[in-house]
Amino acid sequence: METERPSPLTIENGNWGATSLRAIRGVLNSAADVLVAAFGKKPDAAIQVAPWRRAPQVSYDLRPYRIWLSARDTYWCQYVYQFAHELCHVMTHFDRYRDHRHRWFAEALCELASLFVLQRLATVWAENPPDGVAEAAAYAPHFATYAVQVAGKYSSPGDLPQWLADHLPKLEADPYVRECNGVVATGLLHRFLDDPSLWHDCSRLNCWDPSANRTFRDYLDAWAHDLRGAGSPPRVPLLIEESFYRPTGQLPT
Amino acid sequence: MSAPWSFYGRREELGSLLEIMRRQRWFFGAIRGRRRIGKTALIQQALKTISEDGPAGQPVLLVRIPDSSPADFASVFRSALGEAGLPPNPGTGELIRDLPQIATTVGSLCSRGAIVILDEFQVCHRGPLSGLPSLLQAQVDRLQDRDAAGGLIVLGSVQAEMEALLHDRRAPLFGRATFELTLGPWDLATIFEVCRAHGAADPARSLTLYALFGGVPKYWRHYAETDGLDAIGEWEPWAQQVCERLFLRNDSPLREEGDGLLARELRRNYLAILRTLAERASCTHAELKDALPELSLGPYLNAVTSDLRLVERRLPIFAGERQRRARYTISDPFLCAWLRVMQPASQAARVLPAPQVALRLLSRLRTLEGHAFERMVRDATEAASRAGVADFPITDRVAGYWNRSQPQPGSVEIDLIAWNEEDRCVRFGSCKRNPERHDVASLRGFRDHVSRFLATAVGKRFTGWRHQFALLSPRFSEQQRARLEAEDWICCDLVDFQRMLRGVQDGAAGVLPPSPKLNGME
Repeated sequence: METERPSPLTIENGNWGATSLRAIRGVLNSAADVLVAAFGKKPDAAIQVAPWRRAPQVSYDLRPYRIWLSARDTYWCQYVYQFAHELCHVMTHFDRYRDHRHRWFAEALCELASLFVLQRLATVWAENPPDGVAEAAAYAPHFATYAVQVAGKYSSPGDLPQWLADHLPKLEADPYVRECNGVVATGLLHRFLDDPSLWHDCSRLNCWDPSANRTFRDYLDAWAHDLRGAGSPPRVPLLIEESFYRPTGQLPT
Repeated sequence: MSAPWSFYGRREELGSLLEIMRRQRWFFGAIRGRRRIGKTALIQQALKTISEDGPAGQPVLLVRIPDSSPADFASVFRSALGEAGLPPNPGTGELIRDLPQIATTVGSLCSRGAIVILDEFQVCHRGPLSGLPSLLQAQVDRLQDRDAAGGLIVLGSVQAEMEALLHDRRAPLFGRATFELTLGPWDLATIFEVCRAHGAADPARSLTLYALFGGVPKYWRHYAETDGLDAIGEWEPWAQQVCERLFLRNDSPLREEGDGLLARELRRNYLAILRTLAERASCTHAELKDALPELSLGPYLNAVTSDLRLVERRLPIFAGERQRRARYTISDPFLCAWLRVMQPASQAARVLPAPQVALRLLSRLRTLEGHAFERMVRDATEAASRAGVADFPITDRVAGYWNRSQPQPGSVEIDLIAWNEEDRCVRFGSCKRNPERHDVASLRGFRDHVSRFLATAVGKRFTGWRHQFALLSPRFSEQQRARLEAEDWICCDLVDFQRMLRGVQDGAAGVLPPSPKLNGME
């Protein structure tokens, strides 16, 4: 019998392959719990999750939110990887402003969310396995292995400021350059794992109009300004500045 | 130690079935597939999975329709109701005695949300139970117009008869099915998974079992549940024991299987075609005609190829449909093994000691494996490419080439041609069950065949492309591989294919290839 609890998630019927809806619900709820706890707030509307054959996606302008996943069967790592990414879009108000040059950063952050949740679930499932998922505790270590495998695909440039200077034009032209999104995500992962409350800052993304920010630096400044206005110190904008800019505050040329 | 038997593969079909059952909307479905292919197991797995979603499962009635009289069927039906914990006369209030009462009861159960499964439905195609489809039609039509949550699923193994029951325009149930699933043999990724789980991961053993069982789950299960086979070290005594214990002893589970299958599915003339194909591994139309002069070949060959799908017609690469060099082969490995190896051995075992017969059949088994290996390589090449895990992604089906109906001096024969149009690269493959047979003479012959093929009008299509030469065997030793690769041959064995296809399976255990996330909106 499934534990009844208030959940913003509904798992839609569809061809999910060889698994029960209850198990999928257990997996996705545990992923949502991690990210919601890190953000310190719940999504602003309920979320429906449905299977499809295309790349994972969250639809614009729908409430409840509708997330589409391509994960199937009991490939729990894939469910978590895909769902955490899309949930991060939801938590960062992805459909408020959609035509600006800094969307690559949201993609990087959502990749970071996937790696973060995978790493956290390795511990969570070992200590407190979810209901309805067979052999959940034994499965737990696979999340960390999978996160390491995914992160291992991305290069780790020694000089991040130089790397960003080299790649920013490409990222601003195409937000879906996954290798580049991944470099930014892995560059930030350990800081977020050490201090999950950093996600609080991300909940303010898209609370201002980023299309007014001409450069990424302007975008970070606007984010910091927004956070101060909301009474929070701008920790993540500063962290990004520390990690991806020279001490002068400028990008290398 | 072999793992307990489980439900393997079929994830796509299971997902479809679960989706239909979860809709809580009336359905009438058909699941087709040869005997032992796992139709009932699929339903059982679906019901088990759905029961995990909540405690209030739908009542389920599974009835195997006997090939006998309506009265006997009614008796079987009543027993099934009792087994399912359902009242003996739901709906009518009367004891179920005949086909109309059976149909009414099916309708009554479905309208109350039950799922009714009628197995062996093909027996209703003719004979004393042939009235059932029209009685069911009335129930199906009535339920389709109502807001019923139950469903009726018919299962059938004889393809031609199921086809007639559901797709003949004059059939009462024509156009009524809300879904149809056709179960084929397991794919190779599943076969390798089962081999790993049941002590047959060694490529020589995987090949033997594939040659004997193809992708038919029930046969693999018999293997997996035969004690002690995985403890036998050497291939020869192991293969001998497999044949003896599964096919040749009085209590062997598959001793009667081949004859039973043939008797149920086929009439005499079909059998003559299959036997001729089994003897020769493959035949052209002309050769079959020579071998069976008294038979009006066309309709029968068409039936075993198109309707029964027991025979496959293969064409040389880029050949037109009317090409006379088309070769016919038995597409069901079990049937092929039965007719070619096991049936004669089984007959011999009636008068000779089974161990002696098993020892003698090994040379025929090796020959059978040679042909099975070619099929396995073709399937594996396509499966790996489809799953995106291949060392050589292809852009079209794998083919072969031959310029004579049968190999003979001066003919050109290439086992495998795989190509990638985008990369303009073509891979030619030579398959040998025994890797030692990739010797100097054979390698020279292989290159010569490819050169002569490339000089043909068909082969010229690959002019200007990169050419790769691959040698395929169940397993290469490190020394063999090093020697051949030093001479620029590509070596690919079943261990390579197992590794490639394992990536497809491993997600279930957690170690996955990275989730593809291509270019979604957000």
